[in-house]
Amino acid sequence: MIAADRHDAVLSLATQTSEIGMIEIGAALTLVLIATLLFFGVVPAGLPIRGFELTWALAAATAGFLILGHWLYRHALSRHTGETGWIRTTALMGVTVTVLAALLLAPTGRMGAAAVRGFPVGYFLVAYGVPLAMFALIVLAARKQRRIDREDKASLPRSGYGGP
Amino acid sequence: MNKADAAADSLTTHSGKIISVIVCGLLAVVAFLSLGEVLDVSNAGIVPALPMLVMIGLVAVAWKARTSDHAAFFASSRQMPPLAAALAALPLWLPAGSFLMLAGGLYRLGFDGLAFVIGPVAGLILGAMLFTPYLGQSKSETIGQFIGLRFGRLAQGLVAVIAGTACVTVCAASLHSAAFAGALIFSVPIGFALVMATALVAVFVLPGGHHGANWTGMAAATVALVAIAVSGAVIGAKYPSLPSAQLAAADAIPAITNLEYAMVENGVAAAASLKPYAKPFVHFGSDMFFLVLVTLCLVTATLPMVLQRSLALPSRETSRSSSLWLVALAIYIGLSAVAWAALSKTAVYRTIGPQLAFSQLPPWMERLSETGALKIHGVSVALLKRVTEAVGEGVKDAAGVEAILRTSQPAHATVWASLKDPIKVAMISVAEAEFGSATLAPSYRWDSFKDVILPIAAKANANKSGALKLSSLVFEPQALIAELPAISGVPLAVISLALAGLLALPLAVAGAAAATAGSSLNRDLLESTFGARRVAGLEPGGSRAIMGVSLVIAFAVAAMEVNVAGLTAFALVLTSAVLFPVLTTAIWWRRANGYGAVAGVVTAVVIVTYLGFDAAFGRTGIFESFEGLSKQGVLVFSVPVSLLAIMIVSLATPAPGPDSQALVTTARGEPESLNSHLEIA
Repeated sequence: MIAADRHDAVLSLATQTSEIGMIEIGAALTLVLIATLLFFGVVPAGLPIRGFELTWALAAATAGFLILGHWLYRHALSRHTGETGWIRTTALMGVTVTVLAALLLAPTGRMGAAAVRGFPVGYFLVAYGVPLAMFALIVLAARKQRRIDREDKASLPRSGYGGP
Repeated sequence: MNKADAAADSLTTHSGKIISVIVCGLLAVVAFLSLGEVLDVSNAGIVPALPMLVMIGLVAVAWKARTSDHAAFFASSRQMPPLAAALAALPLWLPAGSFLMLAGGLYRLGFDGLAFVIGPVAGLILGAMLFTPYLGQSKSETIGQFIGLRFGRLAQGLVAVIAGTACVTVCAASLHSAAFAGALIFSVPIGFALVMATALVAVFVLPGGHHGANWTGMAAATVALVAIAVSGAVIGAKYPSLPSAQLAAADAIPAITNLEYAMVENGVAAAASLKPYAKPFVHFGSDMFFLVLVTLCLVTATLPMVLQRSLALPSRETSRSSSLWLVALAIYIGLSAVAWAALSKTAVYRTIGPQLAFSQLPPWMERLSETGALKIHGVSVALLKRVTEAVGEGVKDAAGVEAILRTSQPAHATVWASLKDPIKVAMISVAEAEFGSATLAPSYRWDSFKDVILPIAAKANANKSGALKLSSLVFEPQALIAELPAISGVPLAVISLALAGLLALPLAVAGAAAATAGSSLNRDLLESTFGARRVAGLEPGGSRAIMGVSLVIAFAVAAMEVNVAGLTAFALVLTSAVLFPVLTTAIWWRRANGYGAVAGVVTAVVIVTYLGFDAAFGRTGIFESFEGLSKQGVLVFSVPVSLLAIMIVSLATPAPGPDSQALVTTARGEPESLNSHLEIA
């Protein structure tokens, strides 16, 4: 039943891919362009991000690559006729590694220098915030992967062991 | 199943009980020792008690894990529970298995040191996303075997040599680290501590191979976690609002900033030379910080010992559960190191901040100075002791002292040569007075040091305030971190527990590294040369023998006056440069073949050897070495180029055969039917 539903969903995706795909590619390229401009310090007057250009460039680039990756993922699904588990696993890996790269890059900007009334907020964001965000990322990725494995019945029988 | 194998199997069955017994046992012993402390049992008896008991416990676990079964010896029969496997892998990402080294680096580098926490945590996640679930699912017994089945014997042999050599260097660095901790705890010469550490690791590894390394690693990590949690709670109790050291750091970081301002205002520190602790990029610069992060991330993702642990898990799902535990526990250790470093910094600044007179130096400075871990204006009690010994041999002048130190203590001789003449004269006169009298008080040396030698040393170094200046203090950060529980005034029983944990971690890493080195340099290398069938009968005895040989080589490297940390950093970067592209394409790109893999390996070796060699050996200390390598951007440059080489050569040569494709299908957990109609991309 689940397989039949998925097959229908894939067919539906195939018909929508070309229309939505153009929007996605356009949005992704725009975001990457914005990221490039911010990276080189081109900031429109009045935009209150002075001093945090790299952080915003990083956010825009990550969003751009995620949208582009989403288009590639849907494109691959629409062309694929068999089991989709590995494609979805690959897509999940791509998203996770992209977000991980963004989290890894985040401390290299001005995040660490942030302070509120002399309190070094930036230090805590980097020392505690980044590792905890990384942990949240791997927890979410593991939950999603478990769902993919279950739906596609591609995993081996469960062992009964649980994580944290 | 013989008796030994049944015992080894019972570890898997009862892993939860074993963890509970270790935790409850440690807490009970701490309570018992605390009672001893109340009853005035001597300090000398309490502090080494728990480290000694823990070592005995680890030997018992290793004996229980002995096995001659092939699957158990190499991969714990692929039956390790996720939590136990995560605990076994937990110490492996620490530099040389040393919590002290990590926290010491954070103490020295402040904000910039956070790269050594964030980078490895990201690396563990990257490894969990890209490699570990699929390696476990492939049913291979070693990483080399997986690469051999996927890419052929040549790639297997090359990877085996590189990974095996890296593991020998990691083993050497960890033995060195364990010997440092052992010498500190048991007050024995470091050479003797090194011999004992090597003997212990041999007991951990030789009877059970990877199985022994896995279970002793699990036990050691449990001890370390209990030690960090308990000592953290007791230290945190000194901060009434935040009852844990990890949370107390929230108070400590702003306090450090305030103390820095205060020290500059009252002249204890110079504004120009003070590097604010919480300010980013004062040591590295942001580009360097980024390169250090990426380098550590890639190195941790491909640590051979961590990858080998993933082969002990039964399925992809258990591997992912294990990765969750591993990342959670690694973050706990990392944040604990952040807290330890911040609290140590606070302790130092609070001590010297209000213009501390030399005559009022606290007892913990005496302890550190006695081991040479603290130098004030270039002098220490340890140096004074050596000068007294030299005077005891009949020497009367500075040149004579230097000549004797050159033969017996070269490190002290260098320090002695750099001192100004009035300091040398003062030290010799104090030494003569000590040597010439049999009725001096036990505190004579320390009293003379702070009341006579330090004022003269301060004057000679243009410090006329009569108080301690920040710039005059040089700490050995590892020793200072180890001293933190004592500085904080925690009970001796808790100090004993903390030291037991600090000693257990590097021993566990040395065991895992020796086991991986043995299996790489024997089994994988022989398989790649003679084929799997011909060498099957030699195992596991052959690997056991090579594990012993690897351990002896590691001992020799650790004992020699070589830059072990630089050697280890170079070897790990080379291994990462080779393994990352090869494993990524092996799992994620079906079209990759053996020719491409060999091209990738050769490309990585050429780039890293050319760019990284000088950077690794031109500096001292593991952090400096990583910094040096990052400056060259070795990995950041090597990994993409190597990936490109694999892609180009693979596409230019025939597609991989059906066996290789079947392995990919198995590793990915795809349906077996896929093998019959594969589309090669």
